Amino acid sequence: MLNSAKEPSIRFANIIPKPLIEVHLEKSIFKSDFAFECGNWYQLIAPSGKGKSTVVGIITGTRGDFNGDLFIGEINAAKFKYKQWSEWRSYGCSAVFQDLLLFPQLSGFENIFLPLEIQNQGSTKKISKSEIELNKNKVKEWAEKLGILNKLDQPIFKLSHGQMQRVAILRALNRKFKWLVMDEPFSHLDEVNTSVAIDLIINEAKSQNAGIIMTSLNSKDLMSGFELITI
Amino acid sequence: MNLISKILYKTQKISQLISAIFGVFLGFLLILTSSQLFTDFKNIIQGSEQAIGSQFLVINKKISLLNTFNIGNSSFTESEIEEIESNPCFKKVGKFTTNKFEAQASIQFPIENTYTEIRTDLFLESVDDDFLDIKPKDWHWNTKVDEIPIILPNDFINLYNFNYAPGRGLPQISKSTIKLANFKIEIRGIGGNSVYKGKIVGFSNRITSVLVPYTFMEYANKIYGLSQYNNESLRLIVEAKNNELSNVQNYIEKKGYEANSELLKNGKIANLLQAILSIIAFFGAIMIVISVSSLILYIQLSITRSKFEIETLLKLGFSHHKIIQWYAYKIAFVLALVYAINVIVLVFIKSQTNALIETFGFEAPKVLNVYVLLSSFLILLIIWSFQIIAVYRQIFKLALPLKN
Repeated sequence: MLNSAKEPSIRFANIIPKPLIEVHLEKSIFKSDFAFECGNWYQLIAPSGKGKSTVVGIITGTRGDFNGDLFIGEINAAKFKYKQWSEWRSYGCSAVFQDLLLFPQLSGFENIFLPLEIQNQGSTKKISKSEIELNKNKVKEWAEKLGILNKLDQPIFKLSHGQMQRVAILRALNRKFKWLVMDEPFSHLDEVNTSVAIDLIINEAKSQNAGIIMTSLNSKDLMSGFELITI
Repeated sequence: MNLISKILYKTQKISQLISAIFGVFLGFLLILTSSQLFTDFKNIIQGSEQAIGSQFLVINKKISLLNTFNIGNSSFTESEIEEIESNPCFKKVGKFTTNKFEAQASIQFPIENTYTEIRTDLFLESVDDDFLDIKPKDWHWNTKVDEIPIILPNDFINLYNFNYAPGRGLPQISKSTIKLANFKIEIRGIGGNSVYKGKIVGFSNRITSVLVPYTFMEYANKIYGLSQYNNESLRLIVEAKNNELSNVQNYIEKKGYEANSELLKNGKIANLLQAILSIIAFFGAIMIVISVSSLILYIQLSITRSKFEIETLLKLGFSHHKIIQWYAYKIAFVLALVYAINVIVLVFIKSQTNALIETFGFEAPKVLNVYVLLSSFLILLIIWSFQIIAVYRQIFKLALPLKN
């Protein structure tokens, strides 16, 4: 289902997160039937506390505290078992979490390489050396553009938050995905790095024919080519 | 090392792990050693029983104060004898027949030109020939013969030679000499008086009675028997099965009987040993329970410590099965290590105890008992599955969207 060439749409069917019942009295993507369509790019803009991270949590399956139904493709995610969530997270949607969720003891390279190992978990054969080398070259290219190439051999806990954010973005890009879900991914980046990063993201999404859902605080951060959604 | 292992290893606390494992190791060693030693000793005891052959016991009821005042009855009833016969511990049961007439034996020694006479009342008994430990060739009697073959207890001749004779200045007598001596046996009863010759034909270790052939006893009781004696069985001789001595011991104690307990020593030792070793095994079991729960606690703690890592791996799409598998492999490795070291230590302990056992002239099996090894492996398997269940419970909680 999730491995099919056609990416699944993500549909919010009358979803309202339980903590936000009092906050959202009117229809938005909450309390209505809203679908994120395949291959489109969406930018969710809202002030703090309106539920941006909640949307990311709902889509990535880390939060279940909502009323209504989440449909991934044609399937109600309430019916997802452990296996489907694992498949969805490893093949379907790639995420940049607001708190990044990098492994502090691992190096940048190891963190970025981890999703490939996770995607390989079902198969018995190991990822070959040449594949690793090829991948490493691609990652090096990206990292050089983002100015963190000389940091990738260091353990994450030695990096600044902005550097960590760039590592997290690279980790999300360095894998197969049908959706790229990013929660305020540029909050600690300067304008130059932000525009480099958004170029990388758009290129990779295009080449993988994937959809993007990105949240931001301010409407001035609106990126061209993205459909604006205010919550 | 792959990245997953690198991530999950980070949160292990080796010192805590080692102390938890050490507890499991020690508890396990106690159980393993005590059960192995128990099987060893059991083998030895059974082996020595087989070497001795069948076990014959003379049992009687305990004499209490009531018996002294002629109130209690110390004879076995027919139903009691039937019960003993039906007990699977015993092969066969025999009654003693006692004399119902008065009998006296006398013998004269020539000492310094005079004769010294020893005279004693006789308490004769007969028992089925099957229960005798010796079969002298003169051991038969019929009415045409006036010489009665007698079997004396070995203890009697020892008592005479080492206590009575030295004190009285009488000569000590060898067993072959005493067989040459001629006794006079005088019998008095309803049917009149008779004098028989008595001839000692052998010495019994098994039965501490003056034994005469059953044919004689039956005849004499019929001719001379006094009516005041009735036909009761005060003592029984039983043949016990080789490997049932501890059960025999328990049965005799339960019924309040007494036995010539020397023969039951092996059974008693086996019981004692079993008690001691079960106490050790009991403490071993307690230790295992405590240490297994501490191992579970350690694993729960380590999962809690790894909560961020596990949650993040799950959020990145790592399968919870793989994480549980990772823990399962590690725990299996640790337990297998415990098992292997335990077996090595057990082999060492066994070589030591075997040496000790051999100094006592016994022989213990050279190899470890298969059942001990198998059952301990089974216990480890159970421990392992407990750990896996604990891991499952914790990790499942993290794998689905949080409802609250």
